[in-house]
Formats: sequence, C-alpha cells, structure tokens
Amino acid sequence: MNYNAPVTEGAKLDGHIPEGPLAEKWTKHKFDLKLVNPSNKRKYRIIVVGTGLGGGAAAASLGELGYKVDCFCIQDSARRAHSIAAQGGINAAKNYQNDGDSVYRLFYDTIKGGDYRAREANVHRLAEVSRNIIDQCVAQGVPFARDYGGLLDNRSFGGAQVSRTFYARGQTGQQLLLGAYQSLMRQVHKGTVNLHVRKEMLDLVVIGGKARGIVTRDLVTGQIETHWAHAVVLGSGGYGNTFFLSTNARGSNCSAAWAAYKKGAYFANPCYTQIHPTCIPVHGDQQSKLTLMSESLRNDGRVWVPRTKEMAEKVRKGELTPEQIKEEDRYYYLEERYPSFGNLVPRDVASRNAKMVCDAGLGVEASGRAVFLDFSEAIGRLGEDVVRQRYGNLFHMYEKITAQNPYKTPMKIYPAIHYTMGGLWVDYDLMSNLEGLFVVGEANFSDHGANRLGASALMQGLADGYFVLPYTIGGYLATMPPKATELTGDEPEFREAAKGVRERIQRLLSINGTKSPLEFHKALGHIMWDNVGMARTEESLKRALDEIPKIREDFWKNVKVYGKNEEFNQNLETALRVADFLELAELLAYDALQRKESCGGHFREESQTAEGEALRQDDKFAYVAAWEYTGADSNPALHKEDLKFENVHLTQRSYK
Amino acid sequence: MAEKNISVTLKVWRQASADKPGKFETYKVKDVSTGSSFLEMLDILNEELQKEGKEPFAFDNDCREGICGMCSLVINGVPHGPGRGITTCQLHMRSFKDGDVIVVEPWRASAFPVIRDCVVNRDAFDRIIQAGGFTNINAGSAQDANAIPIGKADADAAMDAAACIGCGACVAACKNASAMLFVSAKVTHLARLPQGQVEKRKRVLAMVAQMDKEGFGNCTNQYECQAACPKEISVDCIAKMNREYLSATVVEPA
Amino acid sequence: MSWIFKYVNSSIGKKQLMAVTGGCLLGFLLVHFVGNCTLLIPDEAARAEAFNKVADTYASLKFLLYVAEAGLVVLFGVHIVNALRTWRENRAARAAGYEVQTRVGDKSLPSFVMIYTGTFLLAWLVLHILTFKFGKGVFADIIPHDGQITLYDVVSFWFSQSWYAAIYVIAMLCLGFHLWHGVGSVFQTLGLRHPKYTPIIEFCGKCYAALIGGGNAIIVITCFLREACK
Repeated sequence: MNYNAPVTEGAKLDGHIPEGPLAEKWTKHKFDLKLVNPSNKRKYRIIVVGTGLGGGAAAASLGELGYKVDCFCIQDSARRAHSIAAQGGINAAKNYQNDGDSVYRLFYDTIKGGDYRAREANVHRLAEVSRNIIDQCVAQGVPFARDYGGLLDNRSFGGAQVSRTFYARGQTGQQLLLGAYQSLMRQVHKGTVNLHVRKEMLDLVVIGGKARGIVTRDLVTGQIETHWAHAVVLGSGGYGNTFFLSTNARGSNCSAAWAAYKKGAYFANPCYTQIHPTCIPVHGDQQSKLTLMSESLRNDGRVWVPRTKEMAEKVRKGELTPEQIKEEDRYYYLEERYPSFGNLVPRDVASRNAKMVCDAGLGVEASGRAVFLDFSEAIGRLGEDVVRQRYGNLFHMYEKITAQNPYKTPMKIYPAIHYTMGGLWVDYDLMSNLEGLFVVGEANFSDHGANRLGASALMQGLADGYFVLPYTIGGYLATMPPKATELTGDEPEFREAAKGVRERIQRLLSINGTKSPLEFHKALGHIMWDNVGMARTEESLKRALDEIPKIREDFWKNVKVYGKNEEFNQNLETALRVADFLELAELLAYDALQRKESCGGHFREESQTAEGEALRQDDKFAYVAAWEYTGADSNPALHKEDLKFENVHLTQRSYK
Repeated sequence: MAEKNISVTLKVWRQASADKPGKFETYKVKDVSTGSSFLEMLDILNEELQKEGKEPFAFDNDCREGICGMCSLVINGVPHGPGRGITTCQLHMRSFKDGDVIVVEPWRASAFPVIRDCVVNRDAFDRIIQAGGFTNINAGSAQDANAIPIGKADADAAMDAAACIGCGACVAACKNASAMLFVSAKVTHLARLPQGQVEKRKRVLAMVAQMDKEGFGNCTNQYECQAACPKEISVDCIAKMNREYLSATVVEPA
Repeated sequence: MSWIFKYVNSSIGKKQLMAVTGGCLLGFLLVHFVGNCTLLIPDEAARAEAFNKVADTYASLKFLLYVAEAGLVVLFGVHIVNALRTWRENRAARAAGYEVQTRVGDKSLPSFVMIYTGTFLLAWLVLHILTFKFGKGVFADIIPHDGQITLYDVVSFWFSQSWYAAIYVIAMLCLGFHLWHGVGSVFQTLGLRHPKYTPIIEFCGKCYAALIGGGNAIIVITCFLREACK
C-alpha cells in the first residue's frame, strides 16, 4: 500500500434512510418493506455466520419465521460466542425508574456518546426496539435482577444521567446469550435451523453481484465445504484481536468479515476502536489476553501514579510499596487535570491520560505500564464492608488473577482494547453494498459512531437479530423468486472459492518456516498498540504502515504451520486468522491516517483542543469512511457516506 | 506478592483422533511466571514444542476469563484443577510449586468422545437443551417485561442455576459421568420463573429422556459435581429436578 | 401405560425406585433391630423367652407373614436389580478412567463404596437367611436350650462361631456404611431437599446408620463374648 498517494475516492454511498420524521421512519419503513408469503418462507435458505447476540438472535428469529437457516459457529457450541463475556448490562428506554428516560433520550445519549459519527435514523431505531428486547428476554427466562417487589431493577452506567441499564449480576451478556441460544436450540429441534458447530467461514461466494453462499472449513476434519443460500448474514463479531492483547476471546477473529471485504463488501470506519481504561495490566510477554474490570470501580477508586520518575522506578523495582508513598508524592492526574469530572471522565479520556503518564515514565508494575486505582480513601470514608458490598466480586476477581488484595494495596490497571465500532458497511436495512449480504452486531459499523457507550453493545446485537434483520431481510428476499434462484453449491463461483481456500491453506502449510503464527500475531500487536493505539499521530501511523507489510511478508515466508489440513489443527486455524489480521491492521492504520480529526475512540494528537481534548472537525470529517478492496497491492478506494444531523446539534465535549 | 519463575513437568494426554488410542507424553516447561495462567503455560509449551519440531498440544479455550465454558482440562485428577469456583483459564501457576509434576487429562465420559488430545465433543449438551431447555416464545410476541412480578428469591435462585456455563466439569468430576447437575441447572432455572413454568413438566421429561439417550450415567448423590462446578451450582438443582421429574411423570397426561 | 415403562427405565426413575425401596427397608431394619435388642437381656432364660416370643409373634401372623416376606423380597429385589443396572450403566458412562484418581467433594468414603457394601450385604443376606430361616434343625450341632430347638438356640449357636460372628460384624459395619450415605440419599433422590431440613435429615440419617450398624454389631459381639466366656 502506498499511503503517500492521494486517497482514491469512489462514488458516495447511500444509506437508504427512509423519508419522514425521525420517530416515524422505522414504523413507516416496516410497512413499506415487501413481505414474503408464509408458505414461501421455507423455500428460502439463509446462512447465518456466528451465534452471538446478533447472529444467534437472527438465526433463531429467522427460524421462527419459517426460513430455512444454516447457522455456523467456530466454537463447539453456539452458547460460547464472545457476547457471553459482557458483564455490565443492557440499556433500554423503559423508563421503569420514572427518572425521565425516553426513546429520544436514549437516542440522544447514544449519538452524543458516539461523538456524532453515527447515523441518526439507525440509532433512533435502536432506541425504539430496545424496549422490546427486554420484554423478549424476560419471556425467554433471562433472570434479570429484580427488587423485592418483584419488578425489574436498573443501574446507571457511563454516558447517561438516567438509570436504564438492566442487568443479571455481572453476567448480563451470558444470560442474554443463553436466552438467544435456547431460542436457537428450539429452532434446531424444530428443524428450521441447521446448526454447524466447529465450522469456520473462510470465504464468501458472490454470484452476479449478490452474496449467495460461503466456503467453510470443518475444524474437526478439515473438510472444505460450500453452502449456498438466498442471503448471507454475518454476525462474526469485531476485530479487537488485531492488537493481539485485548479483552476479546482468543478465538475472536476478523476472517469472515475480511473475506467479505475482499469479495467486495465495504469496510467502514476501521479506525474506530474502543479502549477500556480499567483492565488488569499486562504482566509479561507470555500473556494471552487482558481481563476487564468493570468501569464502575472509578466511582470510588482514585487513580494515581508516583509524582516523580525516581519514585516510580523504585516502585517498579519493588523497592518501594505504594502504601509507603506519601500523599503529597501521589499524582492524582485525573483529579488534577479534570477538576470537575475527576476520576469519572469518559473511557477515552481516562485511557489516554493513563498512557500519557506512563509514557512520561511514571507508570508502575515491572513493565511501567500500569497506574494505581486506590480504594484506601473510600475504605477510610465508607468502611471496608460498604466497599465490599459495592465491589466485592470485582475485588475477588482481581485477587484471583493477580494474587494481590485490593483492600490492602491499590489495584493496578491499564487500558486495553475492548470493542471495535467499525465494521462492514451496511445500509439502513443492515445490508452491505453487496446485495444479499447482511451484517449484524459488532461486525457491522452502524450504530455506535466513533465510541460506544457502556451497555449498548448487547442492545445493538439483540436489536439487529430479533427486531431489525427479520423484517429487512424479508424485504430483500421478496425480490427473489425462491425456486428460480436455487443453487447447488457446485457452481463455478463456489468451486473457484473453495479452490482458493484450499490453495491458501496449502500455501500456509508448505511454507515450513521457523516462526509460529503466534509470534507474528504478537509482533503485530506490539506495532498496533504502540502506533495505532490510544493516541495516534501521522508519524506513528506511517510507521505502522511501514512495519505491518514487513511482518506480513515475513509471515508468508517464515511461518511454520504444523500438521495437515485434514485434521483438528488449531495451529492452522490460528495461522489463517493471523494472516487476515495482518491485512486488516493495515486498513485500520490507513483509515486512521486519513481521518485527521479526533473523535471518540480515535484520537489524533494533531487534532486536540488547547486543553488536550479530542477535537472533531465536523466540516471535514462528518462522514462514514467505507473502504473498497481493490487488490492486494493497491490502495483501497474510499466511499464516503455523509452523515446528516437533522435532529441533534453537534457540540464539543468538555470534562474540565 | 512478587511473581517468580518456576519449572514444571507436564504429563499430558495425547491422542491423534477419536478412533486412535492415546497415551501420556511428558514435557518440561521451564521458567514460567507464577503470574501466568495455566493456559498461558500451555501456550508456552506449544511454542516450545513447535521449536523442537513437535506437534502442538490441542486443548479447547476461548474467552480466558471463566465464562464461555470452552476450557476443559482435568488437572491432577480435578476438573479445572485445584481451587474452587474457577475454570481452567482462571487457574494460575502460583497454585503450583517449582518442580511439580502436573497430569493433564481430558474430560472422561463416554458421552464426550475425545476429538484430539484434550479436546472433547460436548454436542450431547446441546442436544439436551434442544430437547426442551427453552421457553416456547417467538421474537415479538412477548408482553411487557414488568407484567409479571417475580419475587426476588425466585429471581435470585433462577440466576444461581442459570449461571451454568455448560463446560461439563460436572460430568468430568462424577465417577458415573452423570450430567444431572447440568440438566438440573437448566430445569431449575426455567422452573423457578413464571415464564418457564408453563411447560416445566414437558421440559423435564424431554430433557431427562435425552440425557439418558446420550449415555450419561446415573446420579449417586456424591456431589462431586457441585464441588467441581466453576460456577458453584448447587445439588439443590438436582433435588429439584428429581422432584419435578416425579411429579411430571405422575401428572403429565401423556 | 408406556409412561410407567419410561419411568422405570429412566435414570431418575431407577434411582427413585431404589430410594423408595431403600426407604421402606429402613423401616424393616428398625423393626428387626428392635427385635434383636432382646438378645441384650442379661438373664439367659428371660432373653431366650423374649427373643423367641418375638419370633413366635411373627410366625403367628401366618398368611400375613408370607405377604410381608413376599413384600421384602420385592423390596430387596427392586433395590438390588436397579442398583446393578445403574452400576453397569455408570461403568459404561465412564469407560476410561483418570490417571490421577482423587475426590473433590465433601462426601466421605461410604458414598463411594455403596456398590461394594451393597454387594457384601447381599452375600451376607443369603447366609443370614440360610442359617436363620432355613437352617433350623439342618445343622446337627445345635443343642436345644429347652427341649426343642428354638430360633434362640440357632442364633446362640451361630454367634458363638468366631468366623460367623466376624462375618456378621463386618456385614453390620457395611450396613452402617451403606446407611450412612443411603438415608440422606433417599431424600435427595426423591427431591426432598430444603435448606432448613436437609442438614437435620442428613444428621438423623447418620445417627440412624450408626444405631442400626453399630447396634447390631454390638449385639453380635455381645452374643459371641457371652458364649466364649462361658
């Protein structure tokens, strides 16, 4: 890729937003969508890739409607998709607390939280259907927290001044996913959904400009299979693992989305990545993943580092314990810099500041990449019991991982990659520019703009799967006569795609180099984290764009992949995924380079206010950047979708 | 607490595929930080095996934070290793001493055939849920979420049971390879809630029938399952399922 | 009717049949034990009379006795058949064992040896019935205490044999072990579990096991020592 060349710009994109007032768009659009005759539904085949909240809910709902669904996941059961790991909760504009919540307020908070880089119409629809999600989940038996009167309880969450977050202890994602999984299992039992576990999508098949099937690899036998359908739904999650260390599951990967991108689907806003400020720090070079500690800890915990480098050095060497550092020698940098919000600044600000103090040599932990989150003041003020009631489970989890008692000594935290707002471009109907390819959940780019609010990911996945896609996909299918468009899965396009997959696997297996796929992934992670992480500059991004192709080249020369294709081969799985991360990383950095403003999770040091805050440039960058694949060696082409704000007023955030 | 480096000897179950016999192989892993997780130690083992030109060791894992239920190793005879209420991925090397010999085996149950090394096939669990582990509700037909109040005690008890991650440690720990804790957790979760009570009899009959069909053993009330469960699900669930099953047999018309 | 077939062949059904039959046998054991206690009466004449009176009372039931005995056969039969069925299935469910064998739960040894204690008890039961029910008069060595051979004479004779007494004591320890786990297990299998009552049930079950197992063993030892010291 030649990043110095001017950006190739293609035609502008149309999001197909329905006409009419914001609050009526979805209702009107549902009526305008064509319907599929109930007796015809079973004649349509739909492929759903992924069984998380988006994919699982979609597959179950489509099965309920009577479509013939083939559903794929890479895990051994549909219940293990990474949605399961979400802790905090799910937002919904129920206003059960009578505290002034409304669909419009949830819409407004989400647009603002996304730093004005999301589509108004999508977000409003999300807020509308949020209420149905809670109803649906309760009916499925999701055991949301309740008060003594038997009614649903709510908690408040970042970026909102109302209590609208529904939760099931610290396992909300798990309970919601199990609800969707159970609905899916019900459809499997009924025979409407055919479930394929331990099968990984490795290519998308496009015939006549329409997505018509996929190529998969059976992870147990290695068999390469083709599957055809009238439409393909991707719910394959985000690409946070491009950074190697993230809070994502080890298996989370970008390969399905990346295959679609290489077959012509546009990839939108890849540079929008969310970094969560309160994660357990990296402990060495053998670490495989990072664990999130709920953001709520910042309500009572105070963030600090030693005031001088010398002192920090001593802490790192273990010559000085945090308790020995006097109050005046502690640098409560968030409280000092942001007197009014203090420790409760938004995720992006907290993360960036942690990086800045560590860059200045004030970080603690052997790596120098950690800051203290101290509860001693809260324990003194509230007593240990109250702190235990509020945060006991988190303290317990921290102690289990680090063997340190946070009641006695400050926690150590550091930001980590957590979520990716970018993804495949979709229109209002969740359909990609490739007809017949629908994308749901984290895999699409649609609803969070440049930053996602806490407890909104679960809402979006389920909204897409239960209440949006089942309508919009019907509108698309109604344009295809089911019988006349049947395929066999043995058309030249399928054979070609399957051949391509086999060749790629063969190529990987025959390199027979010296380094493991994991080594390349780690190397990529370092480059991404150091240059495309919390604070990005033109220079760092160019450095990344120089380095990534070198690793990729090295990978294709020196990787060692064990065994053969025709067996259970985790090494090969990893290699295939790393190969895709190595490509996506470049697009991510390239997008970040082109977006010369700061917004939400994307911070360009060149674009900040005098106080060092993210500075948007609405006149130049109020658009969605959707990238078109143009070949392995040429620059991707940019398709802009202009963002029009007709209902909200764009403002600059300040937390001073 | 300062972390240090230790070396351990691993005795690991290797099996090429379900139809081939397996055996234990012994490996040494040197200089692992006690701050590493057990699975990170296995990552190190695999990187070293690859350097030596040997096939990496296969084990299931995904979220690595104790919630997905993918990881499944029997460590020194204990599913998910020493320590209560944790999964294998939450086990850290500080639970071991320098020079320890650690035996790593797959879940052993006829209903969970080995796929490779310590990776087993747990499809049986999915089929049990398919038999009835759900409420019959289509998307879009639900009433308001607050229409039926649910007492806090019931909601909490349902949540306790619903915390099951479907890892199969209960089966692995049971000397009879019984799946009673897994099945009863789902039966209890749904039977505790008004939404699930509508079809509770049909559900328990169907799920138990499927459980038996899969070839899991019978419960002999030794409660090893409860002790091995990473989510500490109680055998109260099993009692509840026994009760539900008996009453369903007596009352259900067909 | 297929539901009955389904139930008795289901895993839970089998266990519940064992629980119900086991529960009934608990009652039988208690009644039997109370009768046995007459053997602890110090005065020999009174002891023999009391013991024989108990035996005669049962014998006087005539037809009812046969019904009761048939009932016992059914109880034991159902209990044993289901025990063997589940044991076989359980072995098949865990075809391959672990290299490292260990236990993680809180349950003690008796719960893990039910099949062995049960099997030993079955073998002992055969001996018990052979010698006490059908053995009267068969074995010539028995000296009548008072003219004709009574059940008391049979019991005294056999309990004076050291090997026989030893088997009995072991059997009664097995019974205690079996009940130690069995009583609480009956309630759990039938779903009778409650945070308030289960600890009480478990405790009482263990007391019962100690009483029946220990009590019967003491009776045997007492009888043996009494004869040995004569």
